[in-house]
Amino acid sequence: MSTAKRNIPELLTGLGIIAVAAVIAFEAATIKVGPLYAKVGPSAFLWFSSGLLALCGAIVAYKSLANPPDFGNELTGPAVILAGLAASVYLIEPLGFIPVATMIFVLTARGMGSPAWKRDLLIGVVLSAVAYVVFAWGLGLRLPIGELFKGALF
Amino acid sequence: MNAFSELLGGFAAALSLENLGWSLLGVTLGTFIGILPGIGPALTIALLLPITGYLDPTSAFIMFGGLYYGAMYGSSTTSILLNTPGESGSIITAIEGNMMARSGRGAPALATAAIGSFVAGTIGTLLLTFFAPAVVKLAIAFGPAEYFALMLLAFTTTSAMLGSHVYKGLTSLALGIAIGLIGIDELTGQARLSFGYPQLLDGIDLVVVAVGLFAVGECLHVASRKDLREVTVEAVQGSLWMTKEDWRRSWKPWLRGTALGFPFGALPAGGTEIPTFLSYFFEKKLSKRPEEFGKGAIEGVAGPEAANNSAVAGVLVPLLSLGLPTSATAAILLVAFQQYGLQPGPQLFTASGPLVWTLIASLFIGNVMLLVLNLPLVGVWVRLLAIPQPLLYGGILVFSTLGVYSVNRSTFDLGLLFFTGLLGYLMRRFDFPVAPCIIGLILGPLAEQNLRRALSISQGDWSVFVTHPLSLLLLVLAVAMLLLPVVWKTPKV
Repeated sequence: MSTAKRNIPELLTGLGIIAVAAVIAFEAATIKVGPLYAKVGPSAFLWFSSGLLALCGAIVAYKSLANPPDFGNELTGPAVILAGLAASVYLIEPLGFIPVATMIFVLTARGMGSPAWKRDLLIGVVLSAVAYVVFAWGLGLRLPIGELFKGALF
Repeated sequence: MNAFSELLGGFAAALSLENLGWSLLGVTLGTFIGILPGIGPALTIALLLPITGYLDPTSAFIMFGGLYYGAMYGSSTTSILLNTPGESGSIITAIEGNMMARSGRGAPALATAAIGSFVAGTIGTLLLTFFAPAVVKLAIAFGPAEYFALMLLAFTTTSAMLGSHVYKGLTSLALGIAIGLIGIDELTGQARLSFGYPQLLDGIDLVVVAVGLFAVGECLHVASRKDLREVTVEAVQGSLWMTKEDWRRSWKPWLRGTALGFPFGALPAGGTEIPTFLSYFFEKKLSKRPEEFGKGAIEGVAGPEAANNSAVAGVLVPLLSLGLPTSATAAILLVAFQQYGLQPGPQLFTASGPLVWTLIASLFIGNVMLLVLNLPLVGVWVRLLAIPQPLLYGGILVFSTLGVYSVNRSTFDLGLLFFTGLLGYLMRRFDFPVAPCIIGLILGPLAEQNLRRALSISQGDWSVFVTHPLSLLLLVLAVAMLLLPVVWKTPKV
């Protein structure tokens, strides 16, 4: 443990909150408020949440200066899981639900420290296929089968 | 006696074979998700919303009610046998119950938790039966000014009571309000916080935010912390039939816990966490053997477990009678009602009386089912704890993606899931409570609506909020809630 009396991640969090407050304030400022709604117009609550965020962000940033750094964090695991989710945005419609859900399953398990990706792949395929059958055919949820597979199946 | 006869009508409907089936499905699913670490009732109900759109409202709410109660039972099992609490209401159980399990008294700990939950759930539901109509009578006198003040009170209590610091709760609340404002303003037609994305004009779907904050956020958090993944499951040892001594030591804590939990749930005071802490400290004070506390005292499991279950029943009072959610799960239940075009509040009891009473009756029935499901069958549930975490979370994210995509069939929503998940992770990493965000998201637009209504009735005169005595009282309470934690620190374990 370092003895520095400053918690840099927390300081960045505080500054990040202030940045979000600034974005909201900018949005609020660009909204035209008609005189009819001058009392509580469309921007009033935006100003309120922006102000509250700015105040709280300042407190977080200020307190971080006196807080010692806390536990260490591993970031590889979360990054692998997030990569799976990000890829799903672009892949779910062309590839369909089953392969993409399998990919999310395998990457999430990997991110959580699973050593056996072959086992995960098998479980992922079965789970995704069962989920597809139950939800798409059984309950009528419309899940994509995938542009690539459409021709092969129908 | 009116409530009583309506309740009998509710029982008649709830005891139909179909509704019993929905109740059984709800409590089973609830126990299942309560036992799995990392997911709670709020997330599960959010994930079920796209599917239950096809059900009739009575069946859906019977299932949700069972699920809410069941999740509380299930999470106590996890807390006792695993050295991590399922959710904030079971922190105490995770300490005291886990100590009992380690010293070979896991079975009596599970039994006192389950029977205590049953006693508290039944008494709490009974109190709900008689309090909710009384609150409805009071609520008829509420105008927009009172509703606005009430929502402010809910904002400040949830922010102040949940989490470690008031300013962190308020940050979460303000973020939630901002997310709730995204989209077109209903009154003026102006787009807010949509950053030029047409997909944002309709607002962000609650399912996306709830799944992102709870499921994805929790998953990323566990992935980032090795110490959270190393858990040991204690074996169930001892007899599930509590000894005479166990009964003697349990029944008073059950009743005291029930008495503490219900009012904390019913007042907009942030749900189940506080009453469990208070119950624990009461029992320690009253015990003849305070030295056993922290080493596995049965009173320390019986009291808090009763308190958190009766708080759950209490939470339903403001939700059903005022339309005011005071916990994340209640906030999502409110959205479920809205999905069916039902508005909780005084009108709900007049317009959809049979539905409300069938729901309440099914809570009584669900409680009996839960006792059976959780005591003799506990061995079956315990096996769930053996599922390796990587596979468990992999499965959770697969169902999260499925649920989120199927709401609008939109890949844009999957992108939002990524960002709300990241937000949920950062909030956990830096110790910001998640529940105020959900409450702000759902109550923010309602508060805005009521504020505007109040001001248009008063023709722009802000003094309505202080000249109406009820509104003034609520505002004073709201301010007091913010200042209270600064003056009086909650006891920490």
